[in-house]
This record gives sequence, structure tokens and C-alpha cells, in this order.
Amino acid sequence: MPEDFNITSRIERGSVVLSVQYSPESLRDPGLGERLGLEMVRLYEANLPGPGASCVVVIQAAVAASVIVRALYTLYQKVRKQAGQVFLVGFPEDCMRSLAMLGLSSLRGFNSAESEEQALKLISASENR
Amino acid sequence: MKDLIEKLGLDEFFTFVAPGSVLLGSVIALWVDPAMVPPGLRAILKHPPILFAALLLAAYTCGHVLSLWAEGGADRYLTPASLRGVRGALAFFQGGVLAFFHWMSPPKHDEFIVEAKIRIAESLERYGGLAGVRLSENPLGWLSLYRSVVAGRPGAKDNPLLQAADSAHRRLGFALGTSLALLCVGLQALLRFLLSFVWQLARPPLPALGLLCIVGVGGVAASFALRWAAGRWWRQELLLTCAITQIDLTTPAKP
Repeated sequence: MPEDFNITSRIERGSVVLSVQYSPESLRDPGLGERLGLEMVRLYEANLPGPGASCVVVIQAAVAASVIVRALYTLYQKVRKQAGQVFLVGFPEDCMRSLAMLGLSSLRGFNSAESEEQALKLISASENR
Repeated sequence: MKDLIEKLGLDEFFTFVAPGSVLLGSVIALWVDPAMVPPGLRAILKHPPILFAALLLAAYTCGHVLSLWAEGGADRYLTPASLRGVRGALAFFQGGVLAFFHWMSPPKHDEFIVEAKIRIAESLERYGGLAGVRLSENPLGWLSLYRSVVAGRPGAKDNPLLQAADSAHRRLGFALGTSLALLCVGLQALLRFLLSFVWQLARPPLPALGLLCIVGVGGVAASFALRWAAGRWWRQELLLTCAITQIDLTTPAKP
């Protein structure tokens, strides 16, 4: 069965970059969060350049729902076990407040950035500290 | 006790009428000159049932306005400045004003709470469609909405966690509304003090200046103390509701 999301992964300056696409219709599937989260974890592990590697998640969609937050949280737990950080880029503007209210963005090691470049710079800065 | 509260409407009384009465009473005491009440109105005031009903209605209305203001203000205070769409000096000024009127200590997030909140959003989406996650944008109200969904499940209504969380929510509503009413009382008293002491404006007749000072400072201090208490009640409500998510009562029952 073809998945209703698409994730591409690559390594950039020692961090794993995941670009995530999904359709608005797929958000109605309550199982999407778990599948998407596990797939992101699998790709993070498969590309892991070394211990403590951070992960930049680039969301390429206009809407989000709790299933996406669930997937991000699953990834966050894995990345934190590796002592890395998660940087979120492109999360739909309208849902940023929900993300803050759910508390995910206030967890240690979970950050947002305006662009992938900014996220990578912030990761380098925190590693050099 | 809970049944009694529901029957007598004491929930409404404490959440709306009590703060509304405090504000209404302070406005009447500090600004209304009995000599200036028109004779027509004075005749109506001689009928205690009418007077009582009018005051109750006015206090209830004031309480609703206060409650909406308190919830909206707390919601705005808790939203990071970047998401409020303001920057620089305006963000700083707005933050200061919001903190003065609506400061409260929000519950700290750890992984248990975040995971439970995601479960709540998922449950609400199962019932209310994709708006579920957006409902979390009303941080003071969405937990009780989730509990309403849970309460619809067989046997859930008597769940002690549910009752305790509802009770904490009632206290939170009371504390937020009353704290804002007390702040308004304090500010009015201080304004009244300034008007009479600095600008020598003595109309309408003044209460003692010392009393005005005490009411002013005491009102503001009591408001901050109540908001501190509101933060504690909110944390308790959140923890209890998060505990309810561990028992999944929202899955539709099998026929």
C-alpha cells in the first residue's frame, strides 16, 4: 500500500535533514502520526552520522494536525536519546500556537527555525559552545 | 456536594456572580454619589426584590465580562510575543501591560504532560475533526472540553479524577475572575486617592484617604496572590486531566 506521505533524508554539516510532505487529506488518518513518526526515526537512524547528531525537520505542507505533532514527538524522543536536538522548519504558521500550547516547543532540545540554513547555523553554534 | 453545587448553581455564583459583585460594589462605593441618584430611580430602589434582581443581573453580567477578559488576557499573556505578531518596543510594552493584568505562572511542561496533551488533541480530533489540535489554543478551556467528552463514556461520570479535575477548574475560574475584579478595585481606589489627594477633586464624597490607600494596595496585592493560586489550580487540573488520558475513556464503546 503506497504511503500518503513522502520523506526525503540527507546529511548536511553533520546533521540529518528530513523533508516531509503529506497531503491535507492524509491528516484524517489517525494512524498517520505513528507511521510517520516511525519512518522519520528509521531515516534518522539510517543516516545517523555519529552520536549526538541533531535532526532538522522541514515540513512542506500548509496544514498540520495532532498526528503530525505525534510524529514529531516520536522523533524528538529518539533524537534526545542520542543527545541531539530537533529543529523544526516550515511548520504551518497557523498551527505554531498549537505547538507552543501543547508544550512541545518548550521541551529541552526542541527548537524552531525560520529556514534550514538558520537551523544548521544554530546547531553549529550550540555544538561549538 | 457536587450535586448540591449543580442544583443551586453555586458554580455559576462563584465563577461569575462573586467577581461581578466585587467589581460592581466597588464602582458603586467609590464613584456613585447617593445625592445624585435621580428620584425616579430612587423610588425603584425602595423595592428590595427589584433592587436585588437588578443587582444580581448586573453582577452576573459584570462577572461574565470579567471572566471573558481574564481568560482572553491570560491566553494572550501566555502566547509568546513572536506569535502575537508584535516586535521590539511594542512587544515589550504589551508584555508589561499583559503581565500587570494577567500574570500567572503556567504549568511547566515535561514529557509526561506533552505526551498526554497530544493524546488529548488526538481524542478531540476523533470527535471534532481536524480542529482538535487548534482547540489547544484555548489553554484554559480545552481541558474541560476533553473532560466533557470523557464524561460521556459509561461509568466515567463517577471517576474521582474527573471530579477532582472539574473542581480544580472551578477554582481556577473563580481565582482568575476574582483576581481581575480585585485588581480593578485596587486601581479604582488608587485613582480615587490621586483625584482627591493630588488634584483636590472631592466629588463624589470621599471615603477616608487611608482606607483608599489600603484598598488600593491591598486589592493589587490580593490580585497577584490569587493569580499565583490560579497557577497552582491550573497545574492541578492539568495533571489530573493528563492522568485521565492514561485511562482511555474516549474510544467509542462497542455495541
